[in-house]
Amino acid sequence: MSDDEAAFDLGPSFPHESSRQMAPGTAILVLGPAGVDRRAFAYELLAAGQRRAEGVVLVSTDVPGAAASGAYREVTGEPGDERLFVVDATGTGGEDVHAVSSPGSLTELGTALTRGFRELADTPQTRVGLCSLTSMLDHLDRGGVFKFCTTLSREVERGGMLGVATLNPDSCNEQTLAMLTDAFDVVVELDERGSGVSCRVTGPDGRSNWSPV
Amino acid sequence: MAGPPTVLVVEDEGKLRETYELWLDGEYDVLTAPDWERALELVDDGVDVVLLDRLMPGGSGSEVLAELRDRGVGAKYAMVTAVEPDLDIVEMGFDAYLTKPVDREGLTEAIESLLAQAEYSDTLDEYTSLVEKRETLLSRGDEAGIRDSEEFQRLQTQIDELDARLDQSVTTDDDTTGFAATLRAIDAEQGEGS
Repeated sequence: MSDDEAAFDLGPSFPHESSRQMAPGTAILVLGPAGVDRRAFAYELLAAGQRRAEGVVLVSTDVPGAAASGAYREVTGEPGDERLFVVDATGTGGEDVHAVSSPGSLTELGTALTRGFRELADTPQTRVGLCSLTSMLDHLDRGGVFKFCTTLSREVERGGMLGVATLNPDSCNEQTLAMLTDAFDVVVELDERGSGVSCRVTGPDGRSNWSPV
Repeated sequence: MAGPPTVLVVEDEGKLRETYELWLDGEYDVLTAPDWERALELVDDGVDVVLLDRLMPGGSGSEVLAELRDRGVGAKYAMVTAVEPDLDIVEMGFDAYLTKPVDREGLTEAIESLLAQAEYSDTLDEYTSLVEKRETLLSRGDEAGIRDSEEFQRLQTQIDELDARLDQSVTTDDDTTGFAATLRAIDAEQGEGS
């Protein structure tokens, strides 16, 4: 558990200044349709912590962990690797990643995440990212994914962490989307509006307007 | 849960077995086994918590655990160990661990924490099915009308109550093996369901 109750800073590139600081224990769901890079957006939310001495646990369920951590390191742009714990849940494995056999193996995910949280226990705060829930839905029914999200959100809360997960809303039906949304504290929607991508934030304090990313 | 929870203590040292039994008697229905053969005979779905010694004649606690999980016994398992435990215990599939020497308070705390894990899983199942039901209701159109209906409001009240219970079990649980144990329980259910 973290003694440091400082808010998590989502970084200067976060489009909504008033939502840039997140209370410890907040779980964020990033929604974006195909064609919108929700992964890069989520990486940015995690990287904002990597640049500030925080620990980051990154779970990749759809691209191999080595590729995911490579892409992520391009976003952080500076060292801090000793504070990065990558979990590959695609079954690919590889060097410097903690291997989980499939996005649906919740047992292995649980131990990998627990190991990551413990290894980063010395950092002032921890962010955990999961890209993406879309591929978990290919392996588990929506009830299973909902239970996973609910339990992860509560662990994020218990540990005073920041959680970030991504989902393509077009990959599931409306009911599934509503259920999964319910498991998170804050929803960040990304969408193509006009000439570029915009985002709006829905949280305990209400819903923002759309702002360009 | 009807009646007190049932705890099975598997311990080869007779004296320890008696001590644990004495401490737990009254609060729980206590079963004891001196070795794993007897443990396998005694364990069934009525057992809520199993305490397994790390080392026993004839096999290790983790071998017994693997056998019991294979049989689909839905109990919660703690390893009792004299060796300073680490994450391997979680990776072996235990839900918690206890370090020897075990005192009365530590023993009761571990059992209560395991029962809380089981309670969380049950509550989460119920919560999930009600949230699913709510979203199914809402998907029928006329959202405003549905939200006003008595059925919806009753459902929402139940959901809020379960949500609060889930929150409560998290704030009272400072055991870091609980998260992995909960995900393992969800995983096991998924395997059964599909």
